Amino acid sequence: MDFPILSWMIFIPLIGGMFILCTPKGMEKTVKGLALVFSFIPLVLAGMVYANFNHNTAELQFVEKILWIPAFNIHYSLGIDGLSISIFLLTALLTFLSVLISCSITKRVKEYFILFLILETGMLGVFVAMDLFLFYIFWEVVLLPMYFLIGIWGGPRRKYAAIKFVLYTVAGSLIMLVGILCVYFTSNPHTLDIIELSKTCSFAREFQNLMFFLFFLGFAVKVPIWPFHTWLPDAHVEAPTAASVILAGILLKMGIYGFLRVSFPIFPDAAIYFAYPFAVLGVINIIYGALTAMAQNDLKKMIAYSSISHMGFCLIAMSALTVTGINGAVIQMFTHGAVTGSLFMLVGVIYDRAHTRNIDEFSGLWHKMPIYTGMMTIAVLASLGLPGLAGFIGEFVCLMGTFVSTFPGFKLLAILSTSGVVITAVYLLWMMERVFWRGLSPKWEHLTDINKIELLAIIPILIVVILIGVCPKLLVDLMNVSTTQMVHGIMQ
Amino acid sequence: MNYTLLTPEIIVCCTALLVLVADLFMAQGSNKRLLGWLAIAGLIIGMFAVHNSPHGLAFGNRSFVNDSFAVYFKYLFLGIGILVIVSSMDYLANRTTHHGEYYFVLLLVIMGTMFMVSSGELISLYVSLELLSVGSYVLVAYLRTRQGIEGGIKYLLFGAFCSAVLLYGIGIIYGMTGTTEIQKIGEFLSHGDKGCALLLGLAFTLAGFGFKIACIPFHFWVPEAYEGAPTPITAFLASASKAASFAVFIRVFIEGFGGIRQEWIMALVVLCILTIAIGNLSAIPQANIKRLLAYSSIGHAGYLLIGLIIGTTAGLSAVMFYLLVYALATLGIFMVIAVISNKIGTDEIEGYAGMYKRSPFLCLCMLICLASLAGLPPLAGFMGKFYLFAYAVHAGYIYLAVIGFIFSTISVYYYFRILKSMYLGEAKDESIISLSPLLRVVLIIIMLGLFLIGILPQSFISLAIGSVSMGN
Repeated sequence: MDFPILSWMIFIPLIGGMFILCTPKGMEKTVKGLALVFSFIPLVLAGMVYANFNHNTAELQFVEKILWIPAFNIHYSLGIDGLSISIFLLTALLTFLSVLISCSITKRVKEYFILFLILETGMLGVFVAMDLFLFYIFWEVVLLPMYFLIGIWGGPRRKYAAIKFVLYTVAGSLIMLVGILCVYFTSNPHTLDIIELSKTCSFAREFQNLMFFLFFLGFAVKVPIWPFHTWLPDAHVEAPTAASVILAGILLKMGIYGFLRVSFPIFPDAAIYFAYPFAVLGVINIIYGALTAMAQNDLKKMIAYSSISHMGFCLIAMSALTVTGINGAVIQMFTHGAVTGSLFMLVGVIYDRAHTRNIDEFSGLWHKMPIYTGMMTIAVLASLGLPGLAGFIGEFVCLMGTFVSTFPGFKLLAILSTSGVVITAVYLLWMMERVFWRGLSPKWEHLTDINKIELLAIIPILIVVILIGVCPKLLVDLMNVSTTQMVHGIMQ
Repeated sequence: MNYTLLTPEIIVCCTALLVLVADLFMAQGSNKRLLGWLAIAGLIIGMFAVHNSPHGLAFGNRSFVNDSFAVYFKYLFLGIGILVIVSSMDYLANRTTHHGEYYFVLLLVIMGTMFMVSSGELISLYVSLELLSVGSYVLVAYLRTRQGIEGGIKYLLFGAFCSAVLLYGIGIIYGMTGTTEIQKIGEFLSHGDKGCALLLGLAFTLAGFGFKIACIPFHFWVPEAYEGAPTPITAFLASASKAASFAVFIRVFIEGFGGIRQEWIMALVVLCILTIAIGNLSAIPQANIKRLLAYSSIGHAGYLLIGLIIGTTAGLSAVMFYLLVYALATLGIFMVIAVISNKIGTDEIEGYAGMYKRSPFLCLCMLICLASLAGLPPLAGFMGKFYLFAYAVHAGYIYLAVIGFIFSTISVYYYFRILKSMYLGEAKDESIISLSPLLRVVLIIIMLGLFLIGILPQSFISLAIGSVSMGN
């Protein structure tokens, strides 16, 4: 295909941001319209990518490669394969829906949408960049917009949460940059091409271990892996709804994707060497996240900790280094993005009306908001892993992948991890019971049900959740060939 | 004798005199901006002259060398000079009536920096360094505010002391090697006898240059001088003065003392680490934006020292590239500060609260320049750090790169404090801050430049690499 579709997808939101920058003051409707259009075009293009994507090859597709900075042999190199396509499509979808639910904002509208579109450029770029330098640039582009989204439109402690997010992320990514530089100067011939590096991987074992560790710090902050997770609850609680959706739905996956794309294929020996510590961290994430979530009274904080727990499944599944495990991690990336995205949107809906997220203050909302309760039930059931919904597929495949691993002891880890599923069911159902069932407290008589725009934003994502739950083959087919080849490459 | 090599300097010098004379004939209360335009015209002509000046030696010996190294810096200084004067024209308008002398001294100082980078010999180097220094003392205290005078005096006392130390060092080196020509010193040291008195000379020279580039522990004048000086002069000190000092530092230490690298490398590494650490850490608690940037500029001097420690062509080209992107962002920031302080009358960061409402354009400019200094991609500052730290890793100084990155993270924190105040704070006063069209255009050019160098750095990298070659 000659049409550089990936470049267009990445840069159309940026161009849209420039357009919005040029609109005169006070034209808020136009700004919102432009933002919708410019986030919808990448979604259409994403549909085209999906339609033209070849399931039967592990090779990169839609490749664009131009020499960019000859001094460092840096290429502007884009491509997509089974590892990235699912999350790439989800990014386009979630961003559009987030822009849709953001239409209710009234504060500094122009800046908000400019930042959102820049954010989309960064996120889409991370998932298709095939050169470490380019990858790093997109990785960092996400930072500033997110800082401002949390810092300007966030809750009461927004300034603190925003700078905490920035410092954690910058510290992690600069350490990663040291790793990138070391890889560049150690590879022979010097290159930053991710695919070339993973094919010719010939680094010494000690070097691999060190590099794996450096990249680990960069990615671990983003995932976030315990003990680097403390920025996440703060950021989530303070962030505006749409930023939370993006943060949980896409940004966390950048960390997992980083492991799958960079750390594992380029440093395969280190991946095997660190399999146990990695898996143990995964189990800690699952159980610690779930237990902490149970203790939360704030809805957003609860979902934030549940995200930490769910990311743990990706970690143990990856560390198992089986085809099923890697498949599980990629599926979990997608399903968790969709499910948690919808949960945050739904929490945003109730927060807009009640101006609180405190679980104890609610009671019996079902009586006033039946449709909303229905939506919430689907999302919650998906999150706790009810068969037939997307969350189940992700967790099930992850656990299965861990269980079939040839590393001794992983069966035990898989069994331990299932306790996380149980705890998740406990706190989510308990939350449902407290917030929605029981008798209606008179305080909430004035609540209105979910409105049309909100429905419009939430229904598509719930459809995806149900669709994947019923027919996981749609998702698995996309990645299977790529993951098989990747695991083959690592275990050689 | 080949005076054509000196054409750019002669042009700048004549412009300076012309401005001074023109000022005498201008009636009291007439539009003094004309003087600024005259100075700018002179600098632009100077740029053309630099473009046309041949490479070579002006006086047979190496007291004036025009090589590609010098040419690179002369372009930089003339460019900085133009931006500083653009910014000065608005800044001075309500503050002083003595415009002619200001531009006169400023042009002489620019001439001093140009001579500095062309000196291949220690005496001419010292004289031109003094030309830069003495002019700078005057300019820092020019507005005769309390802080200005304090800064000027401090700068003068420290400067005079360090100049004396430098001169003493030069004397010792001359005594030991029998020459003041840097190249010949290099030749002598590559096979000659190296007494310990020479090390003393080396230490003294290091102290002298350390003062000018503002590295720890010779940095005490920096916060006061930066805070007290008229803001355009602060911009000049932070960009041109620092770049010129780095240029002579490179010439003397790489070309002259390159042969006895092992003698000074450890001292430089220690200075470098201290400078990065103390500069960045001291910036955190500052409440005054100019003081904050003063400490951050100390931190940047530390990063630049890494390039000197690497010492290879690649490392030095990284220094030159970094100086370019650093100067661009610094100028942008100080130009914004000059405009804002004209309106709000303070340089406290608190005064910037809610600035986004009062001038979205200036805030955007500040955002981009600060993000560049902090090294966020895809801006030029990121490319500068990448380039510098890449070769640090390549040369085996991984720990310096790690330290650099750690303190870059810290710098993100204090740069974001300014952004936080501007974008997240609430304004007490919401009057619009107006901006002259000229400044607006210049700031747009700076922003585009930062993006251009960040996104398409290759031609600038090639330029820097091509300019490293010293001598002919």
